[in-house]
Amino acid sequence: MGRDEINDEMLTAYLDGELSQSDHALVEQGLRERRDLAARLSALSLPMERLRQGADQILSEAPMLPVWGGVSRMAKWVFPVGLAAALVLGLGIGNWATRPAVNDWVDAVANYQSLYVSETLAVAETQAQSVEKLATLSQEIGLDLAGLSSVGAIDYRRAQLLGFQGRPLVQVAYLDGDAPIAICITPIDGDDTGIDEGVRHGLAAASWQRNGYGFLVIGGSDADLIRELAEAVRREI
Amino acid sequence: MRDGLPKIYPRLWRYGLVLSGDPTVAEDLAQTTALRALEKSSGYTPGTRLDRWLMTMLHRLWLNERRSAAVRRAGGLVSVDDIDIPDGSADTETNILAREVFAKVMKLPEAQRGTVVLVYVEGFSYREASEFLDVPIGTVMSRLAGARKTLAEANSEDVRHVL
Repeated sequence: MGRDEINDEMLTAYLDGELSQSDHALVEQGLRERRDLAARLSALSLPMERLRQGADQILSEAPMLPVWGGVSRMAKWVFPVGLAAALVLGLGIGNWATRPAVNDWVDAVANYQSLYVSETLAVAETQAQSVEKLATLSQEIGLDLAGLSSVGAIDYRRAQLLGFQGRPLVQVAYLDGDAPIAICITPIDGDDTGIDEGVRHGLAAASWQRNGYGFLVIGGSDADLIRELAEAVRREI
Repeated sequence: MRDGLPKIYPRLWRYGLVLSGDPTVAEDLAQTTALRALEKSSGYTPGTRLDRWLMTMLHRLWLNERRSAAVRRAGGLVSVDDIDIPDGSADTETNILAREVFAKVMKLPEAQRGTVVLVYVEGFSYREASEFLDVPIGTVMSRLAGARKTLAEANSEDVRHVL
């Protein structure tokens, strides 16, 4: 490497102790022989200690890891999370020889959904992402889900594929103000049913079955809203 | 995970602040990262560095968020000119100087200030930063060189003002 190739990047790496032995020696030699190099080096020097102090000060202004609603909520949040995820993902909970009762999947989703807070959905998919995601999920589950990008007045955030006991389970997440709401669909055996309303794991819920699929709308505490959304989904899909 | 997360959380927030320039966005990023980490704790390999795993997660969240924000605004990223750094309490002279240096870091272009914090504050080697950011080592070097040049210049201007 010629002396003219001692550029600012190399000087920076020299200051940071990141140069190979040979490049390090080259810079040292350059510094002995060329005054301009020393000037350039000093034009790259920083009060590093002060920078770190400044960064440390910022730490003291960081918010605390939120407890999300007090001790009981925290306990609920921290401990069953693995269990809920395991239930939803169908992992590690032994073998169920029997066909799950209809409400099992609803219960698992409700349990999982009760862990959601608005911050969980802070980052929304872009429109392009949502179109693509819903198209993929439609194929996975064999139902056209495109209509779920806009349901009632709730705000679409994202969609994902979960699984329940070996079957795909689509979860589409929305926000109604601060309240996370989910629409979930999974293939299921059994006859068609009407809308069954209720409260599950503290959340307003409406579920039904139709044409071999189970549907669930769940979230928040506004039972009227959940019923309206359920009816909208029934019309749409 | 449950033990480590609260300790690392302020650093997650700081990195979110450095990337976004906005304490509220930083809080959203840190919270979402924390929730995802708990949801996906099986994705973490015990024995590897939890802080790096969490920071990677936050960084990806930020890239997604920025991309969607850019789409929402029909292109054109907003430049972060006035970064709102929260006010400190103990304002000794050293603290003020330290704060000023950090404030100048925050005025650098996003890619530069992120890299500066990774390498100079979080202690990443060039190679680690290059892997974390998924850019060549040469890019890490040129970002740091660019940042050093700008910061040193601002620094010497301050000195001239004082004189």
